[in-house]
Amino acid sequence: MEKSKKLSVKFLNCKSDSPLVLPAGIMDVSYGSMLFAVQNGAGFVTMKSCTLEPRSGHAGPVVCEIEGAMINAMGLCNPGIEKGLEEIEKFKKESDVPVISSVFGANRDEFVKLSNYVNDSSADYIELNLSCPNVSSEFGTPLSASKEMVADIVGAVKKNSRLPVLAKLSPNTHDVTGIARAAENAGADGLVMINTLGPGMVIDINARRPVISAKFGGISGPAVKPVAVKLVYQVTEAVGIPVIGMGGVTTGSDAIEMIMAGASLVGVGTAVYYRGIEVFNRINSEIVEYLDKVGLDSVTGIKRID
Amino acid sequence: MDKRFALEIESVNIENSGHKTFEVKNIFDVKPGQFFMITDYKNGEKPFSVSRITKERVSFTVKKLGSFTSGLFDMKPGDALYIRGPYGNGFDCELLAGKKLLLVGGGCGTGPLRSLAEYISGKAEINFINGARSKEDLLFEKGLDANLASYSCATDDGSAGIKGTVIDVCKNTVDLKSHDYIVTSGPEMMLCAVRDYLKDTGIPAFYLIERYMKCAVGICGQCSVDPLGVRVCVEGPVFDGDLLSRLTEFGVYKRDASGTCREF
Ligand SMILES: Cc1cc2nc3c(=O)[nH]c(=O)nc-3n(C[C@H](O)[C@H](O)[C@H](O)COP(=O)(O)OP(=O)(O)OC[C@H]3O[C@@H](n4cnc5c(N)ncnc54)[C@H](O)[C@@H]3O)c2cc1C
Ligand SMILES: Cc1cc2nc3c(=O)[nH]c(=O)nc-3n(C[C@H](O)[C@H](O)[C@H](O)COP(=O)(O)O)c2cc1C
Repeated sequence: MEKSKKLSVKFLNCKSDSPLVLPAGIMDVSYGSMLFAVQNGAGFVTMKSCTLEPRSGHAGPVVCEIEGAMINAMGLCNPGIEKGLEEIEKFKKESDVPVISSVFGANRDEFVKLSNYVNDSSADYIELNLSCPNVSSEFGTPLSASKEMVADIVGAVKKNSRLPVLAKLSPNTHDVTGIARAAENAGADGLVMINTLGPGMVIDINARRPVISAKFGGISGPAVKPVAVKLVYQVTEAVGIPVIGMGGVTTGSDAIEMIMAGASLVGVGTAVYYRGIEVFNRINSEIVEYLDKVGLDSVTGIKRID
Repeated sequence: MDKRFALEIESVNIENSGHKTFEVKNIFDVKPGQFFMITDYKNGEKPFSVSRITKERVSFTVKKLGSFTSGLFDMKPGDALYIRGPYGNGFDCELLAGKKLLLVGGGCGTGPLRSLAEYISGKAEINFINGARSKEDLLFEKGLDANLASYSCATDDGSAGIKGTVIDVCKNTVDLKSHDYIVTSGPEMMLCAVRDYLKDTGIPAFYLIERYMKCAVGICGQCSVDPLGVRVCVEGPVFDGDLLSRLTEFGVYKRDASGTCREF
């Protein structure tokens, strides 16, 4: 589908024809699924967070829908960084849409190793997943709970990285702004937020069991949007680097709300469940409708509110 | 909203040494070719196609493989299963009604074809080919609850039907070209053989395919098929021949639980 020029954006070093981002972990284990999202209107794609070694992830059930939201604990299943980057190469042969390579390490050394792999790939950005809530029984509290840890990892990766470094932050701490500042001071080029909220728990009262096999799971989807909007708003007040805002964005109005909170690009993840893979094109048109209504000729004309 | 239902197993039918059919109450709006995600909250959550749909019951015909299916094989009537679905596109029964059909099933892939045959019985001319390794592995030997114009089977060792594959049966079908549609379900190598065989005939066909499945609601991307990325859980599991011919991964590799490509 031909996109309106009004949706053209530039984020750090790359341009695209839509501000909508396919976030890490949504339809992105393979180059085919990332192409499918692009075909349906995504302007940027993120490859599933990759670790040094392949991971099969948690046993099922890995997802559970609740009113207004989704809980998931996939358990960071991924084919490992080497295979993951092969998917990015295959994607790049078919599309010039910018790709974010998301990586997950247990500690600074792993993140540095991972970023060295990404340096040698065709990815356009590296995203440090400092915030997966679903593997804490294995890795402990997500790294983005600690300013020192975030600064240490971002700084170390930044030293080696040829690519812009994005830090993906968790909403599940009391001082997201402090952590965002720590990432900025350590050299992060941008932030991605929010990762899933919680984690939360759902009990099957018939089975007397937690529904999710890992017991707890991160919450995404419409219900988390007010938290995401608030955190993006607070963080963009505190830092100067651009933010990819996500968390519950399902409609054009949601995307505009996220931009008004300060986001430069907008992630659309769980909404693929609610509105189908066409969700990207639908939100694109809804944004254009809004721009026409208020008389703006570019999505970049939507300013952050005070 | 997707909900998990606690349903008691109403009956367990031993099909043969490797397959059992489980029935639960039909509280769903489900059609043939669709599947459910089933968990016991112990051994994971796995996808299973419906193999029979009646007003009262829904059946799943299961092949014993690993931990989940082994656990299931130990379960008895009255035990609870936790089920969500149905998922996937299913067969286009409106399109198939009134047509001359050839259903080609292999292994437990015959399950969804049984549900299709029974569902459109009386509304279409149904010819059924059933394939398996041997008589002992053949499913539904006691017959289907459907009006079939013809039924034939093939076993690798010739212990039932003709000795050979479902393709050999196709080759012996005199009026193959008179069929409006072929519908096939079974091991991927069998589906490939059917596809290759049909290539020069121009007969349109539908294929039910399987990929490693996790969320089943189209967000995790695990069951996407390259290079189009179509999801077996949403756009599938039934694909027409045209679309399938553009899925270059089909018959070549599939992804395991980590997303790593495994060649067939
Ligand atoms: C749409 C669809 C419909 C299916 N319908 C049926 C059916 O009607 N009857 C039937 O017996 N089987 C069916 N299957 C396959 C069934 O899901 C697997 O046999 C089952 O998951 C095996 O689990 P296990 O723990 O016993 O074995 P494991 O040892 O875990 O796995 C054995 C093999 O089963 C397959 N498998 C395992 N987990 C999954 C998964 N999450 N998703 C897909 N495949 C998996 C893999 O090929 C694996 O090599 C279907 C699969 C799909 C995708
Ligand atoms: C099934 C699923 C898998 C996810 N996997 C990852 C992941 O691997 N890495 C990551 O940084 N975030 C992951 N996330 C979080 C999303 O990228 C996103 O931050 C979050 O879902 C909020 O956006 P949404 O409400 O639009 O989905 C995952 C989310 C879901 C629902």
